[in-house]
Amino acid sequence: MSNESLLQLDTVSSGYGKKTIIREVSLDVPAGKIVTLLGANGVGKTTTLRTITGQIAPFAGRLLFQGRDISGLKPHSIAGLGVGYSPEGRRIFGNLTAYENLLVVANRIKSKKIFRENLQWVYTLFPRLGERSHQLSDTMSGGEQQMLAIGRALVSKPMLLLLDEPSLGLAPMVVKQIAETLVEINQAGVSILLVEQNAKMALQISHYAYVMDNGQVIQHGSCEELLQDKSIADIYLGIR
Amino acid sequence: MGYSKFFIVIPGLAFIFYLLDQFLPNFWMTLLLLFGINTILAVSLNLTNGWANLFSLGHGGIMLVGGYAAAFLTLPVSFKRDLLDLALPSFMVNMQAPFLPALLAGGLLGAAFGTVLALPAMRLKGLYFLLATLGFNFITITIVENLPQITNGPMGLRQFPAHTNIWWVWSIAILLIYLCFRLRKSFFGRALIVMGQDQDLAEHLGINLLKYKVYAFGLSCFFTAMGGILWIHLILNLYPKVFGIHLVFNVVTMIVIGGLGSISGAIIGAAIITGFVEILSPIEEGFSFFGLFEVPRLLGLTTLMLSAALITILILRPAGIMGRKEFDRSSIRRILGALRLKTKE
Repeated sequence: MSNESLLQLDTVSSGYGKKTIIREVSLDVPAGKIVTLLGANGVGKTTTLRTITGQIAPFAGRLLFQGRDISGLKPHSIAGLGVGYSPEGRRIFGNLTAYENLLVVANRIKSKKIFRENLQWVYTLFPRLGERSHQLSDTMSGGEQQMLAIGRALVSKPMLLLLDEPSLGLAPMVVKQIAETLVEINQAGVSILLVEQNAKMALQISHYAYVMDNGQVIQHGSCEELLQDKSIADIYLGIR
Repeated sequence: MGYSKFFIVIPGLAFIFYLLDQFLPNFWMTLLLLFGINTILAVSLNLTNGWANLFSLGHGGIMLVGGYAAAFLTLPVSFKRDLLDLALPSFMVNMQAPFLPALLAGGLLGAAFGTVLALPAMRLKGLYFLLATLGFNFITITIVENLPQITNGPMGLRQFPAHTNIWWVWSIAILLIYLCFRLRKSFFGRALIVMGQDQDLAEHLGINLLKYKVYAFGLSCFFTAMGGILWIHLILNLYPKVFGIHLVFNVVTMIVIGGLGSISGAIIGAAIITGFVEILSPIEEGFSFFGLFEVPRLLGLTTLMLSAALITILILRPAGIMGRKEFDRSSIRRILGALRLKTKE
């Protein structure tokens, strides 16, 4: 793999209360790449993301972002280091307009000019958001809300974008559109850690993939390798 | 535009204040002042309970703290020194401060206690936070009642100078309303609103929860304490019992009726509740209707009607009168548009 890793999980164990959910997970997001984390329901994908964002502190192991240990930092400090997060199920702020949803993140950006540039960038990635910028986000369609959730994570121009199930509950056309935009975002220099159940879409756009089961990483490799590994493809990815 | 509009608005307001001050009959003046004070209380409570979704019932305690702090400063020396025998520092006993320093000192002390109140918010959420703040309210009242050497206990304080007038009340109220409307459009206000909706996500988006919770409570309690001080200097006495759950319930009713999270809603709620309470409480006492017949005493009428009004409004409009919306330029335009359509028909 690439020698310059942006985010590195080194045998991280984590969970809720005393219950361990993920055990000794090691994964690596190289700078400028799309990495995907696959697996069925309830295998610890979201818990892994929550550990990275700082919502839960890891029990053991090290979390490195740009070589700096971030385990134990508060979520807002981790966000401040340049980690954008688009949560599962979108969780947009329904009674704010699309534009205000994007502004929420602007707290962190000191310069108005940079913010305006970033906003313009988000609008070129998702032209629909520009058209609907003054619409209450509750009244937007599912796909638009997902675009808004991703856009909100991008306004601060993070180095790493964490995406939790961006394809959840969306029509195939919209999923395709979002996948294309993800590639575009990646080409602009943002590394992406994608957590997905839609393995087909994820493997099409990713450079590298990890497969989780029962709280552990059971297989990893480039996407072609994983697709060729018959047993993995059959059992965990649902692709024939 | 810029700041030039202030040169029109401020003298205009001052002129209106002057006219009202000169010509408004006493009863209506008191009503207007109470409305102003309730507006201050409701709009500031809306910062925490409405925007940040940190439902506090401890604001009565904050008013009490601010009120006593201001009282020690503004009470006449003769009363403090001769009638009461309070264990206060002698410089405090032997001086009578003007209203502004007392107001600011009380406000700042209220803000300081507000940040204390915000601390349980770090660990508690929802109902548990509500109970903790309710406990704060009870604790302050109990402490004040049981420290007769300092606070004169449940006997309370009297002989306040009647400082409260339309200038103080409505300048502070309008300043607060203006501030809140500006905040609504700022990072700070948005951070509070976002925090109220989805606390975890707000943190992931880079909002420092501790900082904003403390700010929200500090600002809210600063104005709440000032509202309390204005109220004391209007009714001219101070009993710790008054600041209990009953008062807090009234203010919470205002913002719930108006719409939690809406500044205009809080003002509308304050107007409704003030009208209700001030018009119903004379009736409650019983009176003679132009000598024709006697209206008997109906104690508890106000509370009953208030609760009925609350229930009615919540059934008809569960989100309050304004919901989460604001009454601003666009809503005026909407109303005008609707009127124009009607006249065409």
